[in-house]
Amino acid sequence: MRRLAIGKKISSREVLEDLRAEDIGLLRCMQCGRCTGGCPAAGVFEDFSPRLVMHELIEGETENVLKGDMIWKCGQCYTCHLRCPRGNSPATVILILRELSLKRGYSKDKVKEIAAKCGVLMWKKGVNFYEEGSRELPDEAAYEVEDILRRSGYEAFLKALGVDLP
Amino acid sequence: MSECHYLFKSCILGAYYPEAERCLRVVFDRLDTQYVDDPAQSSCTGHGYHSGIYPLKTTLEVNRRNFSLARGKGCDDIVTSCVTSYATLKEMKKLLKDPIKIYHGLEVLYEHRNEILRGLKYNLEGIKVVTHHGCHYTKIFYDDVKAGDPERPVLLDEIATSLGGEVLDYSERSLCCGMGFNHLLLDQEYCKKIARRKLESIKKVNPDLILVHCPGCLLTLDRFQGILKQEMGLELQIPVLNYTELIALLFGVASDEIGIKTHHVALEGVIERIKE
Amino acid sequence: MKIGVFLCECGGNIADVINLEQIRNILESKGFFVRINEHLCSDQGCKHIEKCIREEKLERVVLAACSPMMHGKRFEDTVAVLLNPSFFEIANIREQCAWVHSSDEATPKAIALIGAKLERLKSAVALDKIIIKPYNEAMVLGGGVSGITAALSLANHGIKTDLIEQTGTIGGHMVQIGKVFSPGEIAVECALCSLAPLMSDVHHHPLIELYDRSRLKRVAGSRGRFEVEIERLPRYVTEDCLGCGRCMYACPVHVPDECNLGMKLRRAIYIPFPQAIPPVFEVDIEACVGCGKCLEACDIGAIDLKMKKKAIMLNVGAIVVATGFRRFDLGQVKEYGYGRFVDVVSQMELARILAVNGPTKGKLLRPSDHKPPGRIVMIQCVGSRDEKVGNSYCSKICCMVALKHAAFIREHYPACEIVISYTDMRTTGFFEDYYRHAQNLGVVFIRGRAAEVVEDDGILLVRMEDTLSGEQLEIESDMVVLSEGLEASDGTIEVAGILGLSQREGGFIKEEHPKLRPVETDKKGIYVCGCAKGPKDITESVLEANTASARAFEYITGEVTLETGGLSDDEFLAEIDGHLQWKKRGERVVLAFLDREIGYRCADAIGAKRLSYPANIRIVMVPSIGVVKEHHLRYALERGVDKIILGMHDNFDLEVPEDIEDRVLKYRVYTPYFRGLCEVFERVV
Ligand SMILES: Cc1cc2nc3c(=O)[nH]c(=O)nc-3n(C[C@H](O)[C@H](O)[C@H](O)COP(=O)(O)OP(=O)(O)OC[C@H]3O[C@@H](n4cnc5c(N)ncnc54)[C@H](O)[C@@H]3O)c2cc1C
Ligand code: SF4
Ligand code: SF4
Ligand code: SF4
Ligand code: SF4
Repeated sequence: MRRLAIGKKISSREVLEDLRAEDIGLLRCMQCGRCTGGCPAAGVFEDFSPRLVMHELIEGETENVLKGDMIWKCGQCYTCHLRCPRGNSPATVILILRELSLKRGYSKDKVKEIAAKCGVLMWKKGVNFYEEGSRELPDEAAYEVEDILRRSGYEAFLKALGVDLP
Repeated sequence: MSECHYLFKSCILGAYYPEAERCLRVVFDRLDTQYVDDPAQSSCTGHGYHSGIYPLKTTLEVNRRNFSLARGKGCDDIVTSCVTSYATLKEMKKLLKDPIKIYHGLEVLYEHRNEILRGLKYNLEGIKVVTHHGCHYTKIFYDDVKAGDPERPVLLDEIATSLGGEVLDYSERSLCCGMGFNHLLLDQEYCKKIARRKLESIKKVNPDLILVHCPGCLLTLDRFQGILKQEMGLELQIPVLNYTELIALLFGVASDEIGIKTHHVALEGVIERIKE
Repeated sequence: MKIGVFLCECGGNIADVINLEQIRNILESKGFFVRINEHLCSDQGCKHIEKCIREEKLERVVLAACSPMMHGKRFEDTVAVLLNPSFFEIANIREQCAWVHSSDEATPKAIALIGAKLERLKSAVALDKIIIKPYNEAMVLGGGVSGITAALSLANHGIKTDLIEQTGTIGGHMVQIGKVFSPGEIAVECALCSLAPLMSDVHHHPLIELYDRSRLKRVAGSRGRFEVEIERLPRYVTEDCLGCGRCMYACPVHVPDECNLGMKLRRAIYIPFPQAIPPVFEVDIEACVGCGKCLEACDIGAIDLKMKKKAIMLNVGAIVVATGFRRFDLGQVKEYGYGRFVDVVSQMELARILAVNGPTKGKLLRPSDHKPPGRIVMIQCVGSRDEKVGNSYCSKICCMVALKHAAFIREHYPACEIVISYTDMRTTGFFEDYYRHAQNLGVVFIRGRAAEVVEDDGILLVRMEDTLSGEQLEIESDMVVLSEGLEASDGTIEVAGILGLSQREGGFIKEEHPKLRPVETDKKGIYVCGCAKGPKDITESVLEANTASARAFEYITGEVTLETGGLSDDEFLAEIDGHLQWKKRGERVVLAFLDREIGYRCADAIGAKRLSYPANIRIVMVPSIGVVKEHHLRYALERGVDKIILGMHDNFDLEVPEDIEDRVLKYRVYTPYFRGLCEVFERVV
């Protein structure tokens, strides 16, 4: 039996404080399941359901969600965002949660490999993908981007993931 | 739309299908559409952003720079060749309250769809086409979808029909292509299962080609046919073409110039039929 | 007795199938006057009927023709000039004979149908019509918002209206609820602010006579002439009372105040609340110790402790029942601990706590220690949608009541968390806005009906399954609010008994027809509105009250036709006999009792579509299926009827005794589904 203690913030403030949550109906989620019904990821991963992610937030179990791997199963297709009858956007909420999860030091294994590849390329060449001879930014522009990344705290972000920059 | 578009290049196209992106320039040139091709433009971070490897702040700042570059070149709109760039830039524009306008290249060509007809060397007569519109074009800023309903967008369909092709419907039309951002870069379980669902549903109606307008969809629907064959013995072989490649081809651009070598599924057969 | 039979050829519709000549010969040989006509419904045909009645001095007439649904009215008007309408019958030999049977079956059946009508006419009694004017006065029972609305509406239309209220003031539950939700906007308005002006209008209206502390005792008469006896209990204070309240301060007795559900005290001499109507103090004689202090305090001598109860006789033309609801007794659901834990309260108690004129002057404090609660858990559907307590229905308003209170608390006490444990959220129409509003305010909705409330270390634990995750939860709370359901008030049940009105589950009064006559009861001239009829909100109560008063107005200002005679038992049994009179040895006769409005029309439609069924099906039209009683069934079966079909529809159920159960088939008729009826006809035989 799970006990809901008084005073524990029931609905997830931190998620709502994100800029992107401003006009989404997270609190208005009525657990109708229209999101999960059409979610491709829910069809692939039996234990994944955007409705249940929203459910956990509503009941204040944000920490569980941040620690768990549910939020990494979403394919970011935004079908849920398009269809939610309450103006909620599970896809956006999941993106916010991914960021929060990393901020708390969880889920490193979910992104480390990707960041080591795309994040580092971005730092060096200003693009996410690069193949021998493909487009990259001219040096001056690449420095500019690197500077912006640094100032936005991206170096620290990568460091926290254990990704070393050249 | 403004006089001169700031052409926003895609990292996926740049790395894997460079000619597909070049085709957009070719088509723009043919149509006398003005654009600025700025080498200083960086990635929008989109693919990484949706994978969770960029915090919002980073994405905001990177694109603040891109917006000011565009304005510096005298452009008040940005035309992207990728749907994730389209949606990411739109989202950042909204959060930054930046006045710049964001379009996808397909929207520009959709506007010019009658002019395209004038320059045609070939057409799609006798060719059966299915279309797939990228989720990040139709489902995020769903009110902005130019033609059709977000659940059934028809930009590609209308273009294909006006080029003389026959557009076929299929049951998984609104399903994601399977790219799945972080999934693509990790174990790909999502990608394989969704691409399979999508492609099998397409196979049932037996089209000559799949028409897309997004680098990610192009990559997934094209390359996973090989992976699915290798791992599950699935025989699909349905050519996938980006809209820019198709139009350039119909304008008479040579096959290797549209980059058929970069494609996994052979295009020669369908191109031959088109040129017949 | 001279009886005439007119046989209609209906062009060839009837004559091509039925041998009318043969029928004429048979009937003439039995001494009846018989004529065959090409088209009885034509002008010439009707004149012919009239002429024959006159010249042949016919006393009773049977027309054998098309269904009475076709030209029945026209024939009745023709015959009525010379004969009492009871002395005229139509045998339906077209839709229910010529069109559904082959020639060789149709002629004998036509004879049987005509024979049954002849038999019936022999025992017919003349129908008398008396037209009366109803008493030009109306009575409204119950002075809640429904009764107030109905009384004002009637009085505004110029009808003298008696408003009967059993307590010392009008207003009903609306006085207690404090704030009200309304559809269409999220604003929470003050209940008393909108009700008080109406109450005052009642007080000042020259055509409204308010009988407070009064109850219905007896009713005689019916239909527009009700003679009603009211019992009025004394207030022990005369109408001279100025409402100054000196007596109250002098009174040494303190008792729980009903208006605040006992959460506050009042004196033995009191006024329920300052805006009460009539604005006169009253004495709670049970609580009064007879010290006489109030008598001393009252300057004008308005107090009279010797006042007696009175019986009052009123003659009214129509009665509107608006006796409202009672809140479900929460103590019945033991597992929630109402009555055991002081901090488990009802929504109405919470309403009082939140009311500025309530026990905490509007501050959200829990009863046990007067501290503000950090979390409130609301439990929905308590006493509703629960067969265990005998109420399977939804009380309709409690979801909205919970949302109203939850949103109010979140807005004014943001530190207090609210969790709502619900079965379904029922916020129909624009009420959905409240749901969204409450969600936006951070009210947490957990689906599942709470199982139990326990107390552990001074904290209340609500145990429930979160049915959306399948997890068992234990929710800590400082205060638990139970959303009580609504049942018919004791007054409603009592009045239904005295007036003989049908009731439904929960004791609510049943309407005559749920769609087309929603405020009419099964007694003519008696109407019902508001929560006496079923759970509902104020908006709907007011709508119904206005409808009921409009219907009562029509009734009082119109004429009432009283008919004596009609389908008597003798006639009914005679018609049954008639069907059997021509029965051949070994022939099986199945009687189908079908009501005029639905069943009979349905059977006609079978003919109109030219389907067919066995000729031994004989249809007997009844004004309503409710007139068929057990003894009729037994009579028919004993006399040799093989089987009986009863055409059922809404609002009627006849218990068929076991011993004849296999011979009586109840079949639900629907006008458009005539094929179904036709199949039953075939199946039965
Ligand atoms: C906690 C709670 C909160 C509510 N909040 C809202 C709200 O916010 N908005 C809303 O629209 N609705 C609300 N309601 C519903 C609202 O109270 C009812 O719709 C309304 O009171 C119905 O009015 P009524 O006149 O039909 O019945 P009642 O209010 O019950 O009035 C019946 C009257 O008849 C009298 N009476 C009973 N029997 C007799 C008799 N035999 N002889 C003479 N008099 C008799 C009673 O004393 C009473 O005065 C709420 C209900 C509850 C329980
Ligand atoms: S579709 Fe929207 S309202 Fe429905 S469960 Fe998903 S997020 Fe909640
Ligand atoms: S965005 Fe994620 S959660 Fe939403 S439908 Fe797509 S895969 Fe499912
Ligand atoms: S009874 Fe007398 S003292 Fe009491 S309120 Fe009335 S007038 Fe005043
Ligand atoms: S209105 Fe809501 S709380 Fe009341 S009985 Fe119906 S569903 Fe239950």
